Amino acid sequence: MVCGPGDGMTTRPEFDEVIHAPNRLKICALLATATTAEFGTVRDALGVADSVTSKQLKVLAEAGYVKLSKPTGTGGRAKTWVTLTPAGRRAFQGHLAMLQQMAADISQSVG
Amino acid sequence: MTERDCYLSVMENNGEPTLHPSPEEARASLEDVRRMEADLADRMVTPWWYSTGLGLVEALMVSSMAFPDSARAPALVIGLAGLGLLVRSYQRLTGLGMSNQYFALARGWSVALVLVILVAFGVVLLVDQPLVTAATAVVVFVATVVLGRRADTAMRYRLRHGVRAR
Repeated sequence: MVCGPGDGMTTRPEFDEVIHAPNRLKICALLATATTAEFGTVRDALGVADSVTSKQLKVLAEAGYVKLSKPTGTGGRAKTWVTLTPAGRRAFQGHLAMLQQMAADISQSVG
Repeated sequence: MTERDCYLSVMENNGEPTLHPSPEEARASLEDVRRMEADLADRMVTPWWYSTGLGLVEALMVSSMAFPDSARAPALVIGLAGLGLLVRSYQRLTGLGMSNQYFALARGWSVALVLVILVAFGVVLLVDQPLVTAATAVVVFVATVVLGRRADTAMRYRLRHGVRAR
């Protein structure tokens, strides 16, 4: 799993119900590295329909975790770009830390 | 009921969240994240022209330090415009933005490249000789292409294998 610079040790594990839904978790995982991605790239990475992608992005946007923008003036059809906000990055890292803690608990109980 | 069991586990269920904590879901979710990072690695194949173009831009900007005052500013403007064009072309091709996380994922190679460029700027500014400037520009170009590709490979390897950025 890849985390950004400076996180990891200082990230406080915190479960985030908005992020935990599988498709939203995947979107955050994609954006945690790429920071910004085009709508079609997100959709293809998820392997779902436009409407599903749109719905999940709307939930993340309403939580303030992503920002949607449509740059104009580039000619042709304007594409929608999705950017992970600092709040979204913090929430994702906290959620990831919580998942890792939970997974470690499972490993201990199995071992 | 443990504290962990109290956490809400929201899974998609026809778009509606359901509440049911399951520790095993944590591992499944982490696996989803790992797969998404591996998928991202496949999408981030940098085209050959990117590092070549970046090498030319950097070579131009470094050598512009030795240009006459009247030519220096236009050379820097051309360099910056070229950089912008490269970034936009990369974004259009991959559907992905340029992120400082890429730098973190390939920190060693990226730092090496930055050092080469800084030293090159110093050499051109201190040794005002056309031959030295030309040789330095060539070194910057080659270093950008070689180190840029190494950084690209390292970044994708880390993403595919879930190696944490340090």
